Amino acid sequence: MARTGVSSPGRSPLPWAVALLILVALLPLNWLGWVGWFAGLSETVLTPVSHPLRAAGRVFVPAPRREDELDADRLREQFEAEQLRRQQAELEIDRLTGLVERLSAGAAINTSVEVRQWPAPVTGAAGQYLVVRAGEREGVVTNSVVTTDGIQLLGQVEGVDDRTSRVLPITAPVAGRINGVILLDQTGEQRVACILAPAGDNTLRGEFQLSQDPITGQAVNAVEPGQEVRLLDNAWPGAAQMLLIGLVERVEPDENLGGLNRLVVVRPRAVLRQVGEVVVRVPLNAERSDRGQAGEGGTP
Amino acid sequence: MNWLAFALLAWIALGMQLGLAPLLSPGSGAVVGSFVIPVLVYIGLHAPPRSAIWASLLLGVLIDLTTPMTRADGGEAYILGPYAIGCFAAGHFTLAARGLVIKRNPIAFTVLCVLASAVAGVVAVAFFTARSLYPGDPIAWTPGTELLNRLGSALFTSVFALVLSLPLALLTPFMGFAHSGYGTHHHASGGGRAAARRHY
Repeated sequence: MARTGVSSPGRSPLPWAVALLILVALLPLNWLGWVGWFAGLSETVLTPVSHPLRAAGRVFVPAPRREDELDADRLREQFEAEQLRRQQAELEIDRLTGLVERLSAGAAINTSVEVRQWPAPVTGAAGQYLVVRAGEREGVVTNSVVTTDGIQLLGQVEGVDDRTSRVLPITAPVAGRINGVILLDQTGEQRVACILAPAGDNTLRGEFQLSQDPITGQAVNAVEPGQEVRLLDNAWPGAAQMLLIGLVERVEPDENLGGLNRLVVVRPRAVLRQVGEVVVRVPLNAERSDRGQAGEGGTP
Repeated sequence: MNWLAFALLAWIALGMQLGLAPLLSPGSGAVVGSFVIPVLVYIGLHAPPRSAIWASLLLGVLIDLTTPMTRADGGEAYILGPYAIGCFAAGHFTLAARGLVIKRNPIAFTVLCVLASAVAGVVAVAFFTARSLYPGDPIAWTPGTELLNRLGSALFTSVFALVLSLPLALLTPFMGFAHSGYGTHHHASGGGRAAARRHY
């Protein structure tokens, strides 16, 4: 092999440099902290070349995904999926909690009539009817009472098949008149009877007569906006009695009749045509009474 | 040798090493080709021996300063020396071999780069392995795997060497080599250069 021609040790610092580097290379790591400073300096000097080249290289050679990055991605996806599942579970819990409260409230009304409350989604509308996904399979029968939240009366089942039923809301123009009572106090002991008919704007309008002061004989206008109006109509099944028709929105004088007669406008707590879920009150004794067969005090 | 030109070349080669080599690495990234070894071999083939050895040593020091070692605790540490001595050995190897090869032949240049890279890698692995014998040495080191990685890197360096052979040959007039002709520096007379011109 040819001689390399490197100068002898006595005349060159090269052997000393090599010896020094060998010594440094074998030093324990905790004695080499100072090398990091030179490494940082080298990186600083080289960055003007390395950074643009890396950026340019990334255009043509996308960085391969490392295993730990893939693991991190998988964990992130799992975390997001679990988070979504947890949020959905929380929403479901909220929904079920609300449903239990509504059903409890509904069950507390008119406890003399045993009903099974069946939550069901509204799948669409057919003319003035709402189509509800609950039918004969669920025990729904014609004239079953339907509420929006257990308390607010929505209407009555007019037709039922195996899996669905058609519900006519009380605010639908073709719905008949209904008898109700305006509760003048919280206990409901003081009431004023009224007869309501759908007005076509998600309200019901009807007449009522002012009560009279027994001593002075003067009219006492105790009906005020915000008071509850409940159903008390023998034409409706027992499961519907005392359900909420709505709240008094305003009271107007009845110009046609005059005297103690007044007009009341009642607005349900929800837009009945737009509810997404209803509660069907299925009578446990399969009550199949028709509105016309209800007996005394029916809707005229 | 024009040391300013060498510094510029080394700067670009190390920049490419840091910026491009990891992107071009095959597989999991353990095997990384070198842009620096072709420069080392190029200098070793053309520069005067003393300059070539100093240049090799400097390139090795710079590799040490730009190649962090992974600690067992996940951190990084820089160790000066293993690659410096490895490149020193590779420079000597190139000087010893340059009389046996046609300097401007890309294939010869590529083969020399692979061998020089292997020499540097083996020496560096030897140093790191010796260090790993220290009790409580924090560097995460498995000699067998590292040696295979270095030898794989030496083989992969052939790709870079083949690509760089032409641009490096074109740089020769600017490098200020005293002897850039055919054969060893001892034959770098006008006749040697004439022979080289006749050869290509």
